[in-house]
Amino acid sequence: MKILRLWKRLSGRDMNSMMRKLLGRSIKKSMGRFLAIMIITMLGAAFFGGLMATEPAFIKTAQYFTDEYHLYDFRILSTYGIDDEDIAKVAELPETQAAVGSVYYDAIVETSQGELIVRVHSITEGVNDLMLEEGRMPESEDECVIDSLYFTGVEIGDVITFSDGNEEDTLAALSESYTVVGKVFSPLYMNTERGTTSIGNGKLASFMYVLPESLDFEYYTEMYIALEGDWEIYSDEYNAYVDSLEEIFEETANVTVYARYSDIVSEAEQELLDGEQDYAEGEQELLDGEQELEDGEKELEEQKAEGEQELAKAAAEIEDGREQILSARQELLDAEEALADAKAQYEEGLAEYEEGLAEYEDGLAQALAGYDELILGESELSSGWSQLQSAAAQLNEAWAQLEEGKAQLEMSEEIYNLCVSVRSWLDENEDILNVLEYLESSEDGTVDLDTLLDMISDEELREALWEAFGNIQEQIEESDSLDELTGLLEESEVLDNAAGQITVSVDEIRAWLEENLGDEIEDYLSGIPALDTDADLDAALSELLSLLGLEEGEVDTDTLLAAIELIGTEGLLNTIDSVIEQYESGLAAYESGLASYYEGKAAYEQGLSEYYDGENQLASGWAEYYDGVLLLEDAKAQLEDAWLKLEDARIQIEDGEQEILDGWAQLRDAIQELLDGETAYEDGVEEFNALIAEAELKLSDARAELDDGWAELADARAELDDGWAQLADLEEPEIYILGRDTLVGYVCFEADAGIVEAIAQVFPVFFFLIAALVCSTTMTRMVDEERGQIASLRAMGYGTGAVMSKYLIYAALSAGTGAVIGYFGGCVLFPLVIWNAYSTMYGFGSLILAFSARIFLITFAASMLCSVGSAYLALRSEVGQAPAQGLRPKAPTAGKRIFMEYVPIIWKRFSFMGKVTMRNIFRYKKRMFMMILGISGCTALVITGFGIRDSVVDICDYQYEEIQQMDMVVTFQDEVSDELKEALEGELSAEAADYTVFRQQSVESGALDGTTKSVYLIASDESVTELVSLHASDQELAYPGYGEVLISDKLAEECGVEEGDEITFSYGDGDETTLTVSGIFDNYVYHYAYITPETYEEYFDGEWVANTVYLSVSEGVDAHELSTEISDYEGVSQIEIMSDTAERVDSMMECMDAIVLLIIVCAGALAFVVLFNLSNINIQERVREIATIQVLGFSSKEVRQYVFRENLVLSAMGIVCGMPIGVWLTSFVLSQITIDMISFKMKILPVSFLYGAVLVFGFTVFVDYVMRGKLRRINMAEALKSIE
Amino acid sequence: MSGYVTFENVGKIYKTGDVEVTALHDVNFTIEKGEICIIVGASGAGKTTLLNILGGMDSLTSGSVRLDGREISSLNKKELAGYRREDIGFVFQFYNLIPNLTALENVEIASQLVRNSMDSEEILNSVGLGHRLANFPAQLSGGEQQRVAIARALAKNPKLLLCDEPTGALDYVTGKAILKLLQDYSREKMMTVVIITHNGALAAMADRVIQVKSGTVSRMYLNENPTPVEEIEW
Repeated sequence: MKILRLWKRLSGRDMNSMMRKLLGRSIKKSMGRFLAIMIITMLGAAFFGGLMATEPAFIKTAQYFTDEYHLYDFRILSTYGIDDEDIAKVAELPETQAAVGSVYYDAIVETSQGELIVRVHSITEGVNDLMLEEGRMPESEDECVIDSLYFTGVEIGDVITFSDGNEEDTLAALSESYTVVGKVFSPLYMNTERGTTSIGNGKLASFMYVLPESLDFEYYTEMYIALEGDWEIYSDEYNAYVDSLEEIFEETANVTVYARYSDIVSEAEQELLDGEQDYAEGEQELLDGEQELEDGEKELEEQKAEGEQELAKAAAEIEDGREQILSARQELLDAEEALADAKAQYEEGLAEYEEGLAEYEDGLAQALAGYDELILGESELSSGWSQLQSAAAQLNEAWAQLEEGKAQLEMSEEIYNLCVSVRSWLDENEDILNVLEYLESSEDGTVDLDTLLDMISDEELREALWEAFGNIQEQIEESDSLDELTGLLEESEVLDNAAGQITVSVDEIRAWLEENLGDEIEDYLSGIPALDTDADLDAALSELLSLLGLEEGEVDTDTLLAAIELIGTEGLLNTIDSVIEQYESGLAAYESGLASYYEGKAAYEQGLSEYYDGENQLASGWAEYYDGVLLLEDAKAQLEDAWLKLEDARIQIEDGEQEILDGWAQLRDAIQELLDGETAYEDGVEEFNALIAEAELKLSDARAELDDGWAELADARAELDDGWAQLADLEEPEIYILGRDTLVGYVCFEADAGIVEAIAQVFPVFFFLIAALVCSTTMTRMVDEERGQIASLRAMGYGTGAVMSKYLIYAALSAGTGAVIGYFGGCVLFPLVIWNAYSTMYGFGSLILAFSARIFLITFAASMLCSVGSAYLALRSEVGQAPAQGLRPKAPTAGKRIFMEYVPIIWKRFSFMGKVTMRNIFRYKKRMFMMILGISGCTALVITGFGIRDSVVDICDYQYEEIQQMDMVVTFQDEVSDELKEALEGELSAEAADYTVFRQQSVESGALDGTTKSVYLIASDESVTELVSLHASDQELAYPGYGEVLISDKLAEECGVEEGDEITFSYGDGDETTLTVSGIFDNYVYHYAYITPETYEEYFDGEWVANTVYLSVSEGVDAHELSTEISDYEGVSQIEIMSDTAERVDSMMECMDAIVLLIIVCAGALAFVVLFNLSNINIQERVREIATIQVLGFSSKEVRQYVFRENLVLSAMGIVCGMPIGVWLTSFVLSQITIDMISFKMKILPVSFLYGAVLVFGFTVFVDYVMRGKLRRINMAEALKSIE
Repeated sequence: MSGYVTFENVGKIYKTGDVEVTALHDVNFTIEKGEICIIVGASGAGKTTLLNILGGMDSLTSGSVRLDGREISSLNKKELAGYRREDIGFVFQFYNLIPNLTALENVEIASQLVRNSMDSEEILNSVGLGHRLANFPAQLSGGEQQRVAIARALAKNPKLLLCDEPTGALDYVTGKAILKLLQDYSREKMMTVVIITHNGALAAMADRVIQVKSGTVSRMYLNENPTPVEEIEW
């Protein structure tokens, strides 16, 4: 409204309703333009206001916090502690609002994730009140509240216990355990820094609070004082006030502390005297003890000898028993063997018995069969006997018959013999007979000699005959002449005259025969025996004789011959032959009967003998049978015998077995007994030994006790001496009074709150500059558009002021709205986003926004200046000229040759449209400049956004992969244990790839800004560089030598030291040491200083004891798993796994993303506003030109190209210009953003430039796309008709 | 009814919100090829609307328009752009040259658009501006600018040359010269030229005169013997 009035005055008269209407219409018509001015102003205002409001908002928030929770103003410490009296004295001072005593202990707490070094505070009422974040405050002595940020691994409800590795005093003061009932934020720990300590690795990890009642202490460690009055924190007034009070408070405290000092001295004296008394008593006691011990030793010796003897006896007995058992066992085994033999025999006997039984049964069967046979044989024999009797009778009969036949034969034998002899004679004299017969047959008394001769077979006879009768013949034959022969034949009377045959007179021959043969017949006949005169024979002979015609007794040749002559030879012969035959057949019959008799007799005899044989056999059969039966009886008896024996044997075996079983059972019992015995013995021995050991232990304990006693006594002596000495040099008390400026969080917060202020000085200027340009072009355009109207109004008589006011108000309204929205929006948004980013470090509550009228006015004024100022400049020339001139159309900006046209090499290369574009670009210089500025600003912002991200995002990678290459940091309470070192060489060597052992300690160094920086001092030999890369921009640094130190770059920067300078570290309880900086290495997180162990021992007044191990795990090994293994080693207090730390830092870095996004969004808004506005103006300004080319027949695509090609080219130029600005801006912003302990190093990835370019180009294309509609809506006819 | 250019019952109504303004109604006429046609009428009679419709810059509400047998009234936006590009040459009262292009370039920007374009330099020579090729419009007089505009229109070798008050912004002599140029060109090249003017005196130079009054053709007549421009006085 002020402005409006201002303008009323300027215009000289009130704006009339017409003008207001015109204004309203203008705004409505050119909403885009109005909004463009508004938005760009808004952005500028938001940036400026927001960034300027950030620090006040932060301070305000901190102020609220320190007031609300009564952050102390003074902290008083004394070397003699603080007691209630001291506090009361201080509390009496009028300036004091509250004074509270506090005590704290640094202790190692055991958590599920390892050990934490925490500071245990007593809760102080009225000063340093705790902000409860979760749970409740402690109500009883065993409850506590913990740090809400860094008490890792502990939740509400958990019970906190303390490591045994804590100092005794600490453990004594603390309760054994505390139950966590809440999580708090303490004013003493406003940021993430938790401070240093003298225990562990020297770095506090967290804190906790307990009720003072639960701590056992004599004096308070410190006293916190809150002062009366409201003072603005960090203000100079406050600082001066506090300084002025310091002395008063110190004096007040000093008085009471001194009083206590004298108390202490007298108390100590009394104590020492008491101690002397005790000492003397103790000595006497010890001497008594010595005597007792001696007695005891003697007694023990005796008991020992006795016991040993008894035990030896028992042992011997047991040995005996064992032997007995062994022999019994052997016996049993033997018996078992024998039993087995017996069993085998029994089995054998049983088999035999069964075999015998079978045999017996066989025999019995056979005997029965034999008996049957014998009975059968007997009956057969008796029937044979009767047959034999009948055969004998038959034989006798046959014999009688044979005798009869014999007698008959004897009777006829003579005849037979005669017949035979006759016969044989007849047979012998057959020739004779024949001759005789022949002779007899001769009728004339003569016979032919030849025939006769033929009849004679006997040679001699024949010769003889021949001789006797044959000479005639011979003569005939010998006579040569017939005459002689006739004469001879005549002579021979025998000579037959017929046919020359010699006829011989039968008589003559007979006679001759008788003469020659008579003897022989005689001989022969004489040989015939005389026949017996038996009746039969006689009869037969008679018959025969009768037959022969012979008489008995007279058988001679003559008779015979006579018989022969009687019956003829033949008859005779037949007769004889029949006689002979009869006889001979009778003889044969007889003989055959005799033979069959004999045969029968032989058969009989044979049968008889057979009978006897059978009888004999039967008899022997019976005998055998009876023998067999007897044998069987025998066998049976034997079998029965055997069976009985077998049964006996069996029973015996069973008995044997039972006996053996019993034996074993007995043996087992015996063994058990033995074992019992042995156990008893061993128990006895053990007991004995235990007794002895106990006794000995007691004795040695007694000894040790005595020794201890002596040692103690000696110690006591020493202590007493010491005490006397100490009392002698007891120092006077010292009082320290400290203000808030020693509270790290308080100090850091001020620094951190201020960081955005620097950014606030650059960004808004940039935005306001662009806002001014936007306003300027926009208003120029507006004035140009309405110059006719302006001229008309002026022609009508409106004053310059009135006409101008319309435009100035337009600009003021637009920019004013933007400024108001921007300021308040920025004041809310920016602090919140940045607070959010810092909230990981400063956790005290939500942000309190701070609005400042001053800043608002500055913002508003700047906005007005940009908008109204540029509007005024645009109007001035227009309003200044004569109305008539204004009524004429303004000549369009004349075409001009641009410089490029004079460089044909370049110009020729452009296409026709390219040339047009280029000429158009340079035609509107202001617009070109603005466009390039806007786009380059946008590009710079986007690149800054990405650049911050690039610089931040890899911090973890650089720090935890390139620089600190270990995977794990193992911290020990005191000293790295040899066990772990051995394990790392041995069983853990497979899992741990590499490791190095060194001393790490927390020290401090003063920064240029007055704060102290916590630094990790690493005292190690050069081996640490295997796991930590100490380099400065790719160049490895030499490890520091004696008296030298390598420090991290951020530390160097903070402390303002360079290579070769000296740097001072404070350590322990305020000691200081100064080292020469031999190099500065790249580092991102925390501050580090590397020295050698030698340097450490010399410069840090302490023994170099390794307390930390850097460890890298082998590939594939999980660091967490290894850490749990390592945590089991004694003395390990903490294991930090770098990947966890990296994650934590990473999450801290993530807050940066919010800022980056904010920047990119703002950049986008900026780009859009600039581009939209310019394109809008461009189109409006050239609508006629555009209509013309449309009429010429350009297609809509060609029209777009014709118009937007300029935009694209300008964007490209803007992007190119914006990149270096972006780089600069990035480095500026990074230099202004300070997060303690983290060093930002600018790094922009090439791809970020690409992203920036693409993003900005994207904005351009987007704006062009939006503007297409505008192009489409151009009405050719309308545009061409109007006269501008 | 058939001619080179045919208007048949053409009507045009502008709608602005609820207000309807009838710009044209029942317009019927034909123009033959090679004719110089002058459309005369008072301001607001609708002659410019008529020209805009003929030139494919505006659409019509009813009726049909044909050029050389081609229906124009049914063309869409894109086709209209093509139609303007290929068939029409425009000459405006205020020349509408592109200020950032030289005389030659202003002609070239048009000649580039079509295939059978005429040589830009030649045509500028033919309109008597051979010596001002490299000048920007701002450096040319009104008459010169209008010559450039005519050269630009002709360079495309259009079927129809449309001129909207070509002499409106020119002084008498220059205006005459421009009209002469148009007449000569039409005669030489058998170019159909339509000239819009409020100046009835110019009707004498035309082959055909169409009088427009209150949004419709009030009278149309043919001049048997068009007067050469030089002889016309106004």
